[in-house]
Amino acid sequence: MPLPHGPDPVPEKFAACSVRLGADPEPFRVLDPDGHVVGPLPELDDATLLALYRWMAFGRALDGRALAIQRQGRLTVWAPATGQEAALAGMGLAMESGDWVFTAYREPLLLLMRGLALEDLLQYFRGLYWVANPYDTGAWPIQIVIADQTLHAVGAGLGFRLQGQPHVAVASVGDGATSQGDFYEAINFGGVFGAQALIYIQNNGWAISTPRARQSASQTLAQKALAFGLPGLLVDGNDPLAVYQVARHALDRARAGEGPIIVEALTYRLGAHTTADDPTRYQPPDEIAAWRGRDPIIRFRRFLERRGLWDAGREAVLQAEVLVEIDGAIARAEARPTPSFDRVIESTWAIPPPRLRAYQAARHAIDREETP
Amino acid sequence: MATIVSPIEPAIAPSLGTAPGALDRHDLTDRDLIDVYRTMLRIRRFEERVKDLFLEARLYGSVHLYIGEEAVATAACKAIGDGDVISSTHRGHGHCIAMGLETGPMMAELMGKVTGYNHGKGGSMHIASLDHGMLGANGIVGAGIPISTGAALGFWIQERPNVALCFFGDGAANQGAFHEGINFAAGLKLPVVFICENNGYAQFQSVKQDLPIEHVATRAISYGIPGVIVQGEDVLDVYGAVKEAVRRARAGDGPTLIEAKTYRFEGHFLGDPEPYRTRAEVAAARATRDPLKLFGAQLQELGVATAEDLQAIHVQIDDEMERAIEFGESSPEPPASVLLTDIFTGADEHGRAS
Ligand SMILES: Cc1ncc(C[n+]2csc(CCOP(=O)(O)OP(=O)(O)O)c2C)c(N)n1
Ligand SMILES: Cc1ncc(C[n+]2csc(CCOP(=O)(O)OP(=O)(O)O)c2C)c(N)n1
Ligand SMILES: [Mg+2]
Ligand SMILES: [Mg+2]
Repeated sequence: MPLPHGPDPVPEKFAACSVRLGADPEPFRVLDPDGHVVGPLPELDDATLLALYRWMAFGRALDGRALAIQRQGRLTVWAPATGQEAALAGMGLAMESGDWVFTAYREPLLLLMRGLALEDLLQYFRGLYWVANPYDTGAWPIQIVIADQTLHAVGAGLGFRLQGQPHVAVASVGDGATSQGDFYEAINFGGVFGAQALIYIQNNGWAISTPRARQSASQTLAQKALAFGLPGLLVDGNDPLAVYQVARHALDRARAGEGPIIVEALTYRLGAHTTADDPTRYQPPDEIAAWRGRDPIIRFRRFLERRGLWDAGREAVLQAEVLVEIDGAIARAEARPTPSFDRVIESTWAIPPPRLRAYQAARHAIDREETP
Repeated sequence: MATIVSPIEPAIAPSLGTAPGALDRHDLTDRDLIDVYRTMLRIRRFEERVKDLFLEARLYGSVHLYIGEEAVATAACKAIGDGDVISSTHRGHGHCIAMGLETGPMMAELMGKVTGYNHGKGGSMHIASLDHGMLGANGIVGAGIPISTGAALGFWIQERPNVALCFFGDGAANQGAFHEGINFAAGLKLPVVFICENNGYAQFQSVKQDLPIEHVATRAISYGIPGVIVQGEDVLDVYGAVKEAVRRARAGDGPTLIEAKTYRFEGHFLGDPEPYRTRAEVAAARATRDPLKLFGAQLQELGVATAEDLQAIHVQIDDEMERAIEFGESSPEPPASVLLTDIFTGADEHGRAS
C-alpha cells in the first residue's frame, strides 16, 4: 500500500481550523455561546435539527437519572457527559449506518445514537456484562483502559480498507488519552497503512484531576496529527452544528481511504469525573462558571428558538417524554433476570480455555448444592 | 548549520554539511578537537575489531555495529560534563566509548569475561557503567527514552544542575515509549536532550516505509518543544546543536528533539545479508558521508592537525585495540556464584534459594 504523504488540502471552510506548520488552528464555529450564527450553517432540514436537539436533551436527562439511581445503589458507577452533549451528538449525527464506534465510559450518547438500546447499555453499568452484539449496531463495548480503543478502531478501520468496505471506525477518546503510548502507536500504524479511521479527541479540560495544561506542552492536541503526517482539525465542541460539519468532512475523508484523521473538540466536563469523584476539590469555580456560560444545550436551544423551531411549551413536552423513555429502559433493565455466570464466559471466549471450563464446572456444582 | 523546526517555524530541508570555509569550531580548543577525532577513531577501530573477532568466533551473542555514526555519539557526549548521564540503545558501543568507558573492559564484556563492565553477564547490548554516567545499552527498542526521562526527573527533584542525553533510533521513534517519555519530559520541562539517530533503517525496513513524515524532528511539535535537524556525519554540526540543547535543558527551558541524519555502513547486525538496500547505496555513503574522513579533512583545514599527526593517532588506537583484545581474552569467565548478583536487590537470598 502506498504511504500517505502528508495531509492533502482541506476545503476552504476548514482551512483555519486545520493544523499546519507555522500557525495555530482556530476552532471551527457556527454558533456563538448565545446561539447567534457566526459561521457557515450545515445543510440540515428542520426535522434533523430537532432530532439533534432531542439527542442532546436526552443525554442531559440520562445523566440526571443515572446519577440519581447510582446513589440508590442501582448502578455501580456513572460517568456523566454533562457539558459535552454537542460534542457527542454532533459526531453521532454525522456517522452513517455501517460505521463503527469505539468509546470510553463517557460516551453512552454516541453508542445510543448508533442504535444500541439503552436497557442493554444499562446492564453494563449495573455491573453485568456487555449484552448487545456489537455487529448489530457498530457500537462496541466500552473501553476502560485509557486510549486502547484507538488500537481497536485502527484495526477495524484497516479491516474496512482491506475488505473494500465504505465504512469508518471512530475512536472516541479524552484529552488524557493522548498521553498514552497506545494512542501514538495506533495512530502512527493506522497512518502508515491507511486505516479508515477517525480519532476523535474530546478535550474536556480534565483527566480526572489533571488539567489539560499538565497533559501536554503542545499548543493543541489536534496538532499531534502533524507527527503522523495526518490532517488534524480543531472544533468548538460545544457547538453541535460545528462538530457535525467537521465530523462529516473527517468521516468522508476517512471513508474515501485517504487515511486516518484527527479531530479535537474543545469542550468542558461540567459534572464529576464519575460518581466516585468530587470535582470541587480541583476545578476552579471561575472556570466552571465560564463554561456554564457556554452550555451547549442552551446555545443550541436559543438558535432553534430564533428560527421559530422551539419554545418553552415544546421544551416541557420533550423533558417529560425523555424521562418516560429513560425510566422505561431502566425498569426493563432491572426486570431482566440476572444472567447466568456462563454468559460472562460465553461473551468473551469462543472456546473457553480448560482452566475456565474447570472453574465453570465447579461453579455449577456449587449452584446445584445451594439450590434447595 | 542545524535546521530548527520549532512549533511556529515551518520545517525546511536540512542543509547538506557545512559549506567549505565556514567551519564553526564552537568553543572547542585544538586539544578538544583532537580528542574528538581520537574518540571517533577509537569507536571505528573498536567496531572493526569486534567484527573481525565475531567472524572468527572469538566472541558471542548478537552485535550491532555503529560504524558510520561515530560523529553523533562523540559530539553529543563532548557537549556534556561531570554528573551528566546518557541512555543508549542496542547499538551502544559508540555511546559507551564516547562517555569514556575503556575498551579493555568493554571487550571483556563482549567476550563474557568477569573483568567486563557487567562482569561478563551483560554482553554487547547491556553495557552499563554508572560511574561514567552511562545508564545502559538496551535491547528493547525505545526503552532508553523513559529511562533518561526518569533520570532527568531525578535531577529536577534533587535540584541538581545535570542533564540526561537520550540516544535512540528512527525505529524507536515509532514506539509508544517515545510518545510517553517525551510528552512527560516536555510537560515538566525536564533537563533531557532527545537525540534520534536516523540512520535510514530500522532492522530491514527503510524509514521511507515506516515513517509517515519526512523528519522525525517534526514530531517535536506534538510536545511543544524545539525540533532540530543536523547532519550526523558532521561532528561540528552535531556538537553545536547538542551544546545549545544542553544549555536550554540546564537553564530549565526543557527538552529538545534533535534528529541526526546519519547512515549505518554495516548491516543491522553482523550476518545481516542486507537485501533491503543496494551495495551502491552503501558505497556512496562510505565515499561521501564518512564522519571520520570528513573530520580528518576539517582538522587539516582548520590547521589543527597534519596528516602525520592523525597517522600517529591511528597507530596509538590500533595498539590500544590489540591490548583491549588481549585483556579480554586473557581474563577469566565469571564463576557460577555471580550468576544472580546485580540482578535482584535481595540477590543473595535468591542465589541461596536457587
Ligand atoms: C491505562 C489507564 N490508566 C489510568 C486509568 C485511570 N483513569 C480512568 S479515567 C482517567 C482519566 C481519563 O481522562 P480523559 O482521557 O481526559 O477522559 P475523560 O475522563 O475526561 O473523559 C484515568 C487516568 C485507566 N482507566 N486506564
Ligand atoms: C520493543 C522491541 N521491538 C522490536 C525489537 C527488535 N529490533 C531490534 S533492533 C530493531 C530496529 C531498531 O531500529 P532503530 O531504532 O532505527 O535503530 P538502529 O538499529 O537503526 O540503530 C528492532 C525492531 C526490539 N529489540 N525491541
Ligand atoms: Mg478529559
Ligand atoms: Mg535506524
